[in-house]
Amino acid sequence: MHDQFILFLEALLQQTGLREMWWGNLVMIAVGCTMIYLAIAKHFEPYLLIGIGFACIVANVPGSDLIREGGLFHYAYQGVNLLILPPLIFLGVGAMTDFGPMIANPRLVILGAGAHLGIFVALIGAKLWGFSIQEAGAIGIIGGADGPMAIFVTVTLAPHLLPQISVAAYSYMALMPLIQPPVMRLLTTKEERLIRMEQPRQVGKLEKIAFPIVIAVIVNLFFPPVAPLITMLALGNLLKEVGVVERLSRTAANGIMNVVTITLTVAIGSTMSADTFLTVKTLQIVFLGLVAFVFGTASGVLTAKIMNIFLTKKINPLIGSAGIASVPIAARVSAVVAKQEDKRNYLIYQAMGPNLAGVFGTAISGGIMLALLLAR
Amino acid sequence: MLVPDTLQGALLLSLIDFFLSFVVIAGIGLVLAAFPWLDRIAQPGVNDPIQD
Repeated sequence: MHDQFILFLEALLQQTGLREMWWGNLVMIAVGCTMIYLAIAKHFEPYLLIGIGFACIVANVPGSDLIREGGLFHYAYQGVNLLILPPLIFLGVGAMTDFGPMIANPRLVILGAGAHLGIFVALIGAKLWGFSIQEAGAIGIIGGADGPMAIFVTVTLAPHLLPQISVAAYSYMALMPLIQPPVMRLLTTKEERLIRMEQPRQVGKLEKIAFPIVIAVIVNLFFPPVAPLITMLALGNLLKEVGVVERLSRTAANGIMNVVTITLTVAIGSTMSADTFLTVKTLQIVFLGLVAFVFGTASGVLTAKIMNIFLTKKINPLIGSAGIASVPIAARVSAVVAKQEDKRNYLIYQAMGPNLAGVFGTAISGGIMLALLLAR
Repeated sequence: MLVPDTLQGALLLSLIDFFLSFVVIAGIGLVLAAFPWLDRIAQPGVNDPIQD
């Protein structure tokens, strides 16, 4: 009887994950808890960090079947791996976004390219650190400050780095209000920060309807590697702007967006197991991601300053950093820094132009990178 | 592979990508600059004198 009792207990113990638990799992569980804390207490990207943090905790409980083949989180990850979820996120983003500020001020779209120097600084840095050219390209795209695009490029070029790159990209996007302002202030004078910009013109309905169609044609024609993302963004935006399919537009912006966000965050978090995440490479990628954000912010501000040499109506260089993408966080940071200098200087609408152009800037950079790195 | 897996390859890729990004986004800017014409097409005669 006693022997049988011990045997039963041993059999039960064999089926738990306790025997496989190591300190790395505990560290990653702490990381997951920190993410959830930051989301709740500091409001840092709660829609992303809650799902990522929770799945990170579950992925580090040895014995959990959820992340193994056949498990629910495993299938969630297939949505990322097969590049289904990032384009669906873009569908929702398109349905939620008003591209009016970008259409109204076409000269500011150049900032959407100017603020992407960080991508290439991180790419070269990663190569110097011994990463392969594909890995370096995927790491560089963190500087585009665009989560779905970072996932898309990484899955195509270096899928084994997905957990590190997606976590770095989303974490720095959440931390942009802390990272960008010191760089912006360092590179601008007080007079420049006080520049007021006139309100852009009103954009007509036909312009807003034509915009996603034109963009879809341009991207599919010139950048097929990233066409799925931008095409879905355009579709979502078209649903919003036509004004006759409100039900579909609302579903894309709310229902689909919410379901995909839950699935995507769980998928990313489920890849953060200690065995793959606790490496020197992770620290290097996290550092390079920070470098990318700092250089991207700096190059955006400097591009705006260079533009001012040629423009009669000066632009406030603070909106240059908004070209880094990460809609609307970067635009909000520009507006907040400008307001700290002059309480009556409202720059949010003007900053949204380069901010939206930054989405296309990242897509173009990513598209060119994929085209060149996949070419044989 | 077209781009060599070297530092030189990374530099070349960065230069081409950064430069082309500017060119393409400037092109998008030019297309957008023509957008106000769409409104004029959509509302023909708005600025025309009223006929009796």
